[in-house]
Amino acid sequence: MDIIQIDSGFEQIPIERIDLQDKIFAVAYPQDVDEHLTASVRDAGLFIPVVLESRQDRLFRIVSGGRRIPAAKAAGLNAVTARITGQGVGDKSLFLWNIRENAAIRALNHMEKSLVLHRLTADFGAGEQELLELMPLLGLEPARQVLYQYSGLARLNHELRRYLIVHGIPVKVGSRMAAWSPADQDALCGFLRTVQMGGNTLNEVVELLEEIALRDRMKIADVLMKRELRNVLQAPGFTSTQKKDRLKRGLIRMRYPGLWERTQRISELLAKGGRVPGVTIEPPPYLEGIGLDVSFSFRSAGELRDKAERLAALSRQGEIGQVLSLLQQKEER
Amino acid sequence: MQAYRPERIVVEKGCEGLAMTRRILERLPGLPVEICDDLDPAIRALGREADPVSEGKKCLIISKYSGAFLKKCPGTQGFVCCNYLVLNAATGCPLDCSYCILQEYLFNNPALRIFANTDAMFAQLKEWLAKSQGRDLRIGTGELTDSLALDPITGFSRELVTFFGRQDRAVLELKTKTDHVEDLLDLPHHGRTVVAWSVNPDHLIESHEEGSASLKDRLSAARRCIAAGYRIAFHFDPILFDLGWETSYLDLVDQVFSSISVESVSWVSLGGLRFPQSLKRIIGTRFPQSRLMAGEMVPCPDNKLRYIRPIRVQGYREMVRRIRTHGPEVPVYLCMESREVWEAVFGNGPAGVRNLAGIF
Repeated sequence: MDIIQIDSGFEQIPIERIDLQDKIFAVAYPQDVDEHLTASVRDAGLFIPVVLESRQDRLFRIVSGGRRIPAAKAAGLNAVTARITGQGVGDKSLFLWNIRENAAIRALNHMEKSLVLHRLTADFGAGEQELLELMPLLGLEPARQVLYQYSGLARLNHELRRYLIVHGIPVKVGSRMAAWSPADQDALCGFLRTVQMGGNTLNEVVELLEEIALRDRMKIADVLMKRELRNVLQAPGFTSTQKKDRLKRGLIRMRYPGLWERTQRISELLAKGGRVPGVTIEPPPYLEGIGLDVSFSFRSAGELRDKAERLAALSRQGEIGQVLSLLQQKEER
Repeated sequence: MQAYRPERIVVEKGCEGLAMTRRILERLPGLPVEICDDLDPAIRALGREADPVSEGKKCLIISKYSGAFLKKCPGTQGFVCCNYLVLNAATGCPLDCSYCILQEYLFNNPALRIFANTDAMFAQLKEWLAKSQGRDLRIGTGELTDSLALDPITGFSRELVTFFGRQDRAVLELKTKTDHVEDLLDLPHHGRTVVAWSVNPDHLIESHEEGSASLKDRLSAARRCIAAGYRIAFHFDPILFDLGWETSYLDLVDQVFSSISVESVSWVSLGGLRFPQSLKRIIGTRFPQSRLMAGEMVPCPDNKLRYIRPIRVQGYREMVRRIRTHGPEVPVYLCMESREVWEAVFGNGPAGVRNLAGIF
């Protein structure tokens, strides 16, 4: 990798002479002005000088300092302390230099790592081997699976990229969504604006959506357009958590129709048979077993006798037998 | 079907002179061969590939194995076990079935590996057989690889079948999705080897069992084995209880039993698709368009995903009924299923099911 020599000493460069729109060497994501950094600059100034490249049009391009310079501007500074590199160093070398500087002073987030890998290929012509060699610098294992997973994140739309960072969504979830079409990604964004989901829930939702779409040969956007899911968004008075729970239930119902239908039937039969206060009667998880679980606690022999008698009465009703038949799938022989 | 041909061979130092190594190298001329003291770097490099499973199939490692070749089939916790013994002379498989558990099981060690110290293996076999006097053993080689897929380069089954031909209380099962049976036809098997085929409807073989023989070729191989005096077996496994499964699987039962004489069938097993949760991610990555995972599959007590019980029970019942129309006496058992499912399907556990005494 090239070693960049920056010959100049420190100079004060007016911010108006820096092209803030030229983001060719930018590594930071998202690129919003960082409020905490702005407050820090306002209080204490810029500790670390930035690096700029002089351009033929007498403006400067940011090599390193893509977050600090906008923060300095927002804090009311007119100039920043900078070291200047002349033209002719080569864009790829300067980009690599900036990656190294960033990696040395902070941990890059998933999207930054992804965009670095993607831009090295797309904008600077780096080959796969070069990327694999660079990956340890980004804190990544130099393995092709990891490379494809991270570089794939660049296919996420801007809203999902931001969501990934803000909500700390794991890369594996992001990379699944990155394989979706833009329309499918947009459709999910429509939900995420109303229903906030963390990594685990989003992972479940993504998996359910993919499996329903695959089974029904539909687009994910079309699954999300189904009325039972759209109704969740429009439900008045529901909190984000309630909407999230209903969205998940709706998806589970669509994904496991046979299980859902049987579970509902069992719940209805148990409700019809009547409940014993303080006693829980539950079918086996996923209906894999053939019996019902009964649980209750008691604090006296009398309470035990009372609950046992009520359960005995319940057992004489037809509903318990119907539930057990349903679970055991008995057939005539 | 084509015989397996890797892209390169790695031989563990010390194996060069072994008969198995020499035979493989003779049968695979013109390939790059590397002799290695330490296999780990080659294995680790495969693990860093984008698709370690596919890359692993391209690299054949010939090494020694110092552990136990013969083990009790691990079965699955809390589910009915058929007391099978597995003999692992190779790990990894040249076929590429989308549902294969080996994708997950061997993910960190994906090279196709053949153990060349067969003398040690036969010594262990003899020891087991001596210890098991008076008890019939069923031993299979199809747990961590296909039993016959590597035979064109190893010729290993010839040795095994001949060995078992000299035993009187043990049966060898060669379980395969190939038609590589030519080498078996002239052997003195003395009825101690059962050649078994995993079968699926043709359209599923095409879409999910890459590199395997077609159903027609499997059945043709089965007929050749029967003609050579072998007993045979069929494993309807994995059954994909998906939309419209009845037509294709019941037709499959008809196809199988109309192609062979039912008297030659030693056993038939049925097993619904099941896999550990962790395999989902691998299937999703390697076969993104596969609809395997779209079935109504839920976690079971052994942490494997299976179709919900009502679907399985209904499906097994129909399969058993159809099999019975062809062969009322053929032993039929369920693979990796719970006692509750056995009872719902057969009205009894394995001990109470007709004709299974010789198996369980």
